[in-house]
Amino acid sequence: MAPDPTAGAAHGAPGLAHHFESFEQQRETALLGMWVFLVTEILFFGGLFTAYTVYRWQFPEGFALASNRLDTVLGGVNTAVLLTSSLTMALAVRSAQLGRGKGSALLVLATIVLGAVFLGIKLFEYQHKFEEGLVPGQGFQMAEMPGAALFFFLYFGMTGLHAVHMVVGMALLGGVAIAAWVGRFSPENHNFVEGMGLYWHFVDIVWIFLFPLLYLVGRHI
Amino acid sequence: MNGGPESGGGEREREARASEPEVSDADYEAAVGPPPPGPPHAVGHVASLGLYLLVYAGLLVLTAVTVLVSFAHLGALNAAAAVAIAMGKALLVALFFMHVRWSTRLVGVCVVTGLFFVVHMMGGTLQDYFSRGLLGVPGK
Repeated sequence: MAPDPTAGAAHGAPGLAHHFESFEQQRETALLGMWVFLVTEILFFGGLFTAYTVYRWQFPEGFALASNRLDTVLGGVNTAVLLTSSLTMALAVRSAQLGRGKGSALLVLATIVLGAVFLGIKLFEYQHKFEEGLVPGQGFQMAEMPGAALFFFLYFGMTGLHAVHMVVGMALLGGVAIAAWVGRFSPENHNFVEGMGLYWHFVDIVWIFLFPLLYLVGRHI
Repeated sequence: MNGGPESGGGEREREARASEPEVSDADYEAAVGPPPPGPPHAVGHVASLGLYLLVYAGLLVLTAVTVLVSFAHLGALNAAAAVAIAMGKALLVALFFMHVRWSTRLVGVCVVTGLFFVVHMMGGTLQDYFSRGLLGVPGK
């Protein structure tokens, strides 16, 4: 296999850390690091999904009745919002690949804004749940239905954990947007953008599973 | 631990040697020729805008399907259908938005490993719960 003609000449190139032979190697290393972290996140959420599976199996009626108290329209809108934010993030990475720093920054900004819309809708939903007495504990309105409290524990726990991940992601994306705007990235090295893209898509995938499992249980009844 | 084979001076020499390329840049260029001219090229596959929009449209369609199917009377299949469609959406996001389609096999091994362990965590837990009471012995 012919040696990469940019490899040797790349030593000392701006944006290439000294311990890498090429920009390709540097990029693969950075992304592999993010992937390994995402695998730990899969297991992190996986534990909660496992709990959900067990308790939905044990309390099918309680879960269905509790799930019907959630607003499918708001959940569906939020799903579309997050899918759109994944699109803007993928396009932001693409712009960075093409050396378009300012375009990339604007697309990352769009991603952050869409994330904020998602969180705003979630906050609105949470507020309603508090008012309707659907927070497990004192004053829980479905206490006589076995499994309903478990459902809402999982609802607040899983969407809350998801929201925390979104907030952290949005804060880091703010840093990405600023760096992209001032031209810190190049087609050879935009690993921060791409790595954060992987993180954001993962958070989107978690919601892709949360939406049907929380909002669409027993809707045919 | 003290008493290693090299003293502090040896370590500094090793670092100085390591930071120099084994072949000088001039010799390397003489051997393989200058780097190709032109603007800096992107490392990694650049997908087209059209492909991203197509995947996005597919994701929205599958979301609508998920909602519609949830209103159909499928009994026990409702949950399976919802999860199956979600897996399809996750696959689209992973393959195209996350570039797994154009990534190295090492990344693929990483992803599959994660899923492998999730499957076993869920599978083992459910196997425990599903087999409770099967023996007719209290507490088993």
